[in-house]
Order: sequence, then structure tokens, then C-alpha cells
Amino acid sequence: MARARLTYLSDAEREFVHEQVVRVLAEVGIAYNSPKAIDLLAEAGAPVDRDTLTAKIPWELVQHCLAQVPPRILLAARDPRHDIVLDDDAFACITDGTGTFMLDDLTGEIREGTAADMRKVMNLFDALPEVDYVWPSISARDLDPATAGLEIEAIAIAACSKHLQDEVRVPEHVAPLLEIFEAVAGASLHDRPIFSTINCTIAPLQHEREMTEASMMLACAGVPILVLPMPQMGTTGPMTVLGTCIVNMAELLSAVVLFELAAPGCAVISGVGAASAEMRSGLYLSGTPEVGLINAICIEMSHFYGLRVTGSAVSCDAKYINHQAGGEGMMTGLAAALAGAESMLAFSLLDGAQVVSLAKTLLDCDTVGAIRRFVRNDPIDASTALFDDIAAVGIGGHYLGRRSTRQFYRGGELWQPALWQRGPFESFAGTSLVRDAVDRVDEILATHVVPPLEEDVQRHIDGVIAGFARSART
Amino acid sequence: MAKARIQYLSDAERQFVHEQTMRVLTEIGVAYNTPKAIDLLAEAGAEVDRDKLTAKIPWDVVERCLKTVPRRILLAGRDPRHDRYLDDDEPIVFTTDGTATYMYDDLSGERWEGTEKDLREMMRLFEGLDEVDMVWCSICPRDIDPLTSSLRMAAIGLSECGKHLQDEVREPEQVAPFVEMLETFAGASLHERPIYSVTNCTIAPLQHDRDMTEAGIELAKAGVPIFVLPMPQMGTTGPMTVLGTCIVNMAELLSAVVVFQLAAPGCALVSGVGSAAAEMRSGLYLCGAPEVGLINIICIEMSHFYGLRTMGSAISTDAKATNHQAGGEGMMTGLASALAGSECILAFALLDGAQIVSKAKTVLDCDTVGAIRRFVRQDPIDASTALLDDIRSVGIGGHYLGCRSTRQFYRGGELWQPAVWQRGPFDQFAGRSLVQEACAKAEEIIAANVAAPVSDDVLRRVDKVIADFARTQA
Repeated sequence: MARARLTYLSDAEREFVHEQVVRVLAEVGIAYNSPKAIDLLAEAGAPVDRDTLTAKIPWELVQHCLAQVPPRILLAARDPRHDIVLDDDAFACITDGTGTFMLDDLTGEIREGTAADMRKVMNLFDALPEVDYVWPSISARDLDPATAGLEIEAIAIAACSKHLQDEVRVPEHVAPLLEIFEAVAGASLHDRPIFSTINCTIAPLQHEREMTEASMMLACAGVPILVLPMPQMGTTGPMTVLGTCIVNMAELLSAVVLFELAAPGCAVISGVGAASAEMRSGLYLSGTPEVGLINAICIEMSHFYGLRVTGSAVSCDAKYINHQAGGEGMMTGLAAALAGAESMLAFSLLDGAQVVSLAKTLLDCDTVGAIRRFVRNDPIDASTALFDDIAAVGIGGHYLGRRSTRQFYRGGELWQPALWQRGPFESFAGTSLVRDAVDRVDEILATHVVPPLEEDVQRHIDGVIAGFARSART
Repeated sequence: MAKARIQYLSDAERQFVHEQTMRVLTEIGVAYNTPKAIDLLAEAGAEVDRDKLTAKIPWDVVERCLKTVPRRILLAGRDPRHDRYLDDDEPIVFTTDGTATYMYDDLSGERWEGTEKDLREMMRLFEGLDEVDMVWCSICPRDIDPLTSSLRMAAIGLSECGKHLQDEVREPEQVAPFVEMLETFAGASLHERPIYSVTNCTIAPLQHDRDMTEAGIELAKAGVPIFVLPMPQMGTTGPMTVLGTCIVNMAELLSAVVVFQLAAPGCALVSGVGSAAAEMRSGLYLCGAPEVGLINIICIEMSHFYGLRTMGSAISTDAKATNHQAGGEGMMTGLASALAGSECILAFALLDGAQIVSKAKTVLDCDTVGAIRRFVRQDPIDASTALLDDIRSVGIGGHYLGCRSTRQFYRGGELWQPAVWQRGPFDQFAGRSLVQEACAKAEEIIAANVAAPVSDDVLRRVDKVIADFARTQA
């Protein structure tokens, strides 16, 4: 079987990167900014500084913790038909986030996202078979900030039956969120982890106290952790692809150590959030070739450490759905997929992850479909060489009458896009791809039915949020 | 040094594809359709059928001919500043694609049959774009005398653009005036300054066109490099599998290598990958499908296995306008060829399965090419890029803006900068169309007309060659 695979580092180069990462951990160290974390590190034998809440981490400790990360990770869904397992054969595509603005794809105007937008976006994600699991891609700015951290998850899990992944920013949210998710799952999250959490480290080489403590508690409750370092090449990371990768990997391993010490055997995924900075404005650039290379290196290094990976992909800095969005999305998508990421962020965003577009979500499905075909395992043997057909057709002639033509065509040898246009020019003259995508979005939203939560579950969720709001006020 | 690369076939799979290709050549054979070629094949020891003008070609003949193909190939420019080489350590040579029937108005969406004016404008545009290394006459001018159109197109191409020109020569009668005209432009023998190379399209499955092949033989003798371009379409003129289509492609390629090396031993010859997929409802040529990317990868790998330089078909699209699909398909096919290590890549200008030329897409394809060049660039993986000293001195927290390395690597191109793709704050680009900006840039370049001029004397002599040829034909 053949599969297109990207190789970047030689064995010696991989060893060199590893050595640099280990030196950063052992010589520079990491700020955990949490006494709880520092206690765990100290107990495990790492040299810590309790005043600065930092630790230097020896390789033996990293190695010990890496050995505990499970190689097979279940990302269960509210609807079990959408369960995802990250293992050697996995290639799951996730919606990206979290955008601040919604784009009107036809007028080009943007506005701040709302809860209604989020419901609509999650409904769309539920309907698209190319979407394997979800982030709540748009920030709902009209929710009460006191309870928004809970309400967002409640809206998302009700509006989409796929596995949900998001940040939990404060430890106070952990108990109510666990209650919500276990009510929806009808089981412990150890058995049915329908939610996984994102733990963003803060480049360079820091952890945020509240998010990290929340993640430690979630890990103990069976919630998988996606560690997402985000050094930006040139600002919070060095101005080289390699230097930024080294910072990304050091932050990643420091998080692996912490979470495996807090909850041995917990599911941890390496997320590649490192990107480049637009050096005039300082903005986050997510569609550059360097982002593709950063992903390729960090995915290779994560596999070197035996970790499953989520690549940042199909991402773009384009302001609208155009040639740039297609090109940048395909480049970053192929980089992550060819490097062998078990999952990748893929759908919905424009403008360096600031803007959500429903039409782009649909068009990204064609990008993802093409990538899936491109990295498919295919046999290289007599069954696909078709020598007998080549001999039978011989010199001249054609293959239209061959049984193998019908068989392979129907079997998906030639991938078919949903919206990208093929066929005679006249069939499409004057037909805008974006307009087609918008129409298709409207059609899906008008017809797709998300399996509803049971009434008593919904009541329970509402009660949990109301109770949290009351306790927050007092 | 690290460089992103795709490897698709294992050693055993490569050997399998080679064996299948050889079975096609020895058991089925190839129709050369010209007694001149058959004479050469018979003399070399191939089994020929003089009635059908076909030959079955044993491996030892193929092997002998492969050995005489030069590894370093000069593609001279009319303007020597544009000389390019195909070789292991040379940058990828990007060429404009062709030859389309229609010109496209990117702003109105209308198309029309190409004219001489369109060809002149496109060649001026190609001259002004640094990313374009060599050129095809991408648009077919339908308003020039068909009797002399091949000569006239080449004359227009060379007078408006100083870069290496590549095109078809369809009849042996045109060879003498062609060589005279080209040597007039070059001011030297084509053996010394091959400012023109010729494409030789085989006719799938497993045939050669008599006139074009005989012309190719004469041109090879005159020092003109030959780019063999088999074009089986998966499902119609090739089997309905990626692999089967590649086997037909490779068999046609090797049959051409044999005939040209027997006719002109040591002649420069490049493996072009023209194979694509058929749109099975209309039979149209699909050049942006993921399967086209895979076909290119396999054929490039197999061509390298045979020691040949390659030209991938890439940055190609079936999109009907310069849009998300054009960007995505172009990037996928472009990355496939570049990551597979193709020395030369067809890249610019076309939409709608190579039927339509777009000025805006030509300009935007430069950003695609720039991003690809960055992605496949060789970069050191050592202390010079790891920047451990900077990571140590910035330490925990802080930023890299003040590091000398930041300035140095930024200025040194560590972060690739697009020309038209938009980066920076949304507000700066709100309402600005990428296509409109690309059109404006194209018109600016065309108006600047930066090609090194051709002397009046050369133009007079070229006109006379064409006029004399017209008289003989009349």
C-alpha cells in the first residue's frame, strides 16, 4: 500500500531538535505559575523555584511521563455514531476557532458573533460529514460574561452531537462543566469523554495558572487534554521556523509532564498552535508556508515522542473566500496531513482565525475531501496496475468500455467535489462559488435536524448554569 | 540541511511499476506511425511490425537509450539573464502553462477566443514576473494565418519576452524555418544556445503522432531539447486508476526516450507529466483533481528512477474563475510536483482545465509559486537556526522583538512575503478584491514592457523566414 507522506528531518536532525528541546527544559526551564503544579514537579524530582513558580525538567522525568500517555485516545461524541479514536489509522478533521467576528459572505461585512450565530454554526457542523469533531468556532459576545464559559458549552453540545473540544479557563468552571457533560453523556467522562479541553501554554515557556489548574482537574475526571503551545515566530518565538518549533515542543513536553503527574495515564494530545507573526502589526499569521513547515516539524517531533497530534491546518490570512484562502488552506492542510497528523483543525476561519464564514466552512469540505483522497492508502499491485486492461485496449482505443472503469469510478478512484466546479465552462458561467456555498448552507440549515437533548437533561443543564450564576453573585 | 519531500512508492513498489511498464513495452508495444522511427528501432534490435509501424521494445534498448540522456540541461533565454538549468542543485524552474483557446476578463467573467494582441500582452506580463522562469505561449491567437501560425507564435513569444520559450512543432516541414528563425534570435547555434525547447505529445494510449515525432527528431538533431508529454486521461485514454494511468504514461515516455536517443544520441530530453483525469460525464480534461497530484508524484518518482529530469503539470485547476477552488487545486497540484522533486513545473495562467487564460490568475499564481518555493527550500537544522542562545536570553516570558537574530532572519527572508495575497488588519483590506488588485498589477506590468528589445535587423530576418515559408506552403 502506498500513501503520500512528507518527510522533513533526517534521523540526525530529529535527534538535534530533541537535544535542543531537552536543553531548554533543563537549562532555561518553565514557569508553571501554580503552586499546585510546582508541588507535583518538586515531588517528581524536578528542581523548582517556589518564588518564581518555575521548574527545570530533566529528560528522565519527561521520558517517564511520556511513557504514560495512552497511544489510543477516544474522543466520544454525544451521538456515539460520531465517536472518534485517535490511533495510527486516524485522520480526523475539526472545526477551527475561536473567531470573534461573523462574515456576511455576500456583502463582505463583519460583525461580532452572538449566541444565535453559534447555534447556527454548530448546527451546520453537525450536518457536515467532513467535520469529525468540533470547536465552538465563533465567540458569542452577547452572553453574560459571568456564565459564558458554561453557556457556550451548553449551547454547543445541544446544537451539535459531535465530540466537543474547547478551553476551560478557570478552575471554578470545572465542577459545573463536568456535571453538564456527564448529564449529556449519561456516563462518567472516564467512560464517555464527550468533551476534551484545550490547554494553551503562554509563549515563551509559561503556563497560565487558572487554565492549567482547571486542566489538571479535568484530566483527573477523564477529560482528554489538547496541549496547544502558540509561540509566534518573531514575537513570542524566535524568528526562525526551527527556533519556534523548539519553543513549541518545550512547552508541549512541560505540559505533558504536569498532566501525567497530576493524572497518570491521562489522554494528552500534542496540538501545534505555533505560527508566525505579521511583523508590521504583530498579528497572528496562520496561512504562511512557515506555518506549514512548523506543523511538519512539530508533528514529526511529536511522533518521535510517541504522541498523537492535532495540526493547525486549512488556515488562512485571507480576508475573504478567494484564491488566497484556497491556496493557503490547501498548503497548511497538506502539510499537516502529509506529515501524518492524526487530526487537524480545518474548517471555517478567515483573517488569521478572527472571522468565521459559513460559506468557507462548506468550501473547506472540498479542500478536506481532496486532501483525504490525496493521503489515502492505495494498493500498488496488479489490482490497480490493470495490466490486463492495458493489454486488452492495446494501442489506440479507449477504456470507457472496461468493467474496471465502471468499478473504480463507482469505488471513488476519482474524488468528486461537492461545490468546486467541474465540467463545461458554459454550465457555470456567471455562477459564483461563494453564492453556491451560501445557498447550500441555507439549504442545510433549513433541513438538518440535530438530535435534541432529552428534556430532563436540558433542564438539568439549565439548573447547573443557574446555580453557578447564583453562587458567582454571592 | 532539511527539505520537505514526498515519498510515495516503496522500493518494491517502484520495482513493480517498472516491471509493469516494461511489460507494456515488450508485450503490447507502441505505435510510432512513422517508418523513420521504425527503421531506427529495428536497427537497435527492437521487434518491429513495418505494416502497422509498431515496435516492441526490450529493456536493454531502453536502458541503453536512458544512459545517453544528459543529466544537466540548459534552457537558454533569448536574454542570457534568463538562462535556466535543470539539475540536482538548481532551483525549480517554473514555466507558464498552455495552450489555451480563450482569454478571460477577470472582472466581467466573460471570455473570448485569443488574439495576437492577447498573446503579446501575456508574453509581456510573463517577462515582467520574476517568478516565471521560462514560457509557453499560453494563449492561442486565432486571428493569425493558420499556415504560419506556429512560426508566428514563436516569433511573437520571443520578441515580447526574453525568457526561454517552449512550444510544439507539429510538422517536419516547419523544422528548417524554425531552426533558422530561432538561431537568428539566439545569434548562435541552438546546440550552444537552446533558446527554444519543443514539447512532444504522445497520443494515448501508446501511440506517437507521425508528423510531430518526425519534427521532434529533426529538432533534437539541431540541438533543441525535447520535453516528452504523454497525456493519458484516467478513465478514457488511460485506465480508471491512478497507477494504471501512470504505467501508460511511463511506457509512452520511455518509447519516446528510445526514439529520440536513437535519432540524436545524447540529445537533451525531459520527462513531462501530462497525464490527468477525465471528467466522466463530459469527457473533459481534469487537471486540478487530487488524482492528478498523485499521478505527477508517481511519474516524477519513476522518471527519477530512470535518471530523467522531469516537468510536472501543476498549479492547474478546473475552476471557472480565479477563486477558492483555483487557489486550492493549484496549491495541491503545485505542492505535489514540488515535493516530489520535479526540476521544472508548469505553473501559471490557466483556468478551466487549461482552456482559459487569466491575467489575474497569472499574477496570483506568483504568490502560490512563492509560497511553494519557500515550503520546499533547503534550510539548515543546526545551531544557526535553533537560536538556543536567544531562547536562553529571552528566557521565560518576554519577547524576541529585540533580538538581533529577529532582524537578521526577517530581512533574510525567513518569513516569506506575498506580493498580492493580503496580510494585516481586516480593516485595511475591507472591500478590496484580490482579483481586482491582481488585474491592476497585471496591466501595470504589461504597460511597463520590460523585455530586452530585439533588433530591427533580427525582426526583419525573422519576418523574411516566415514569409518565405508561407510562399512555399502556398
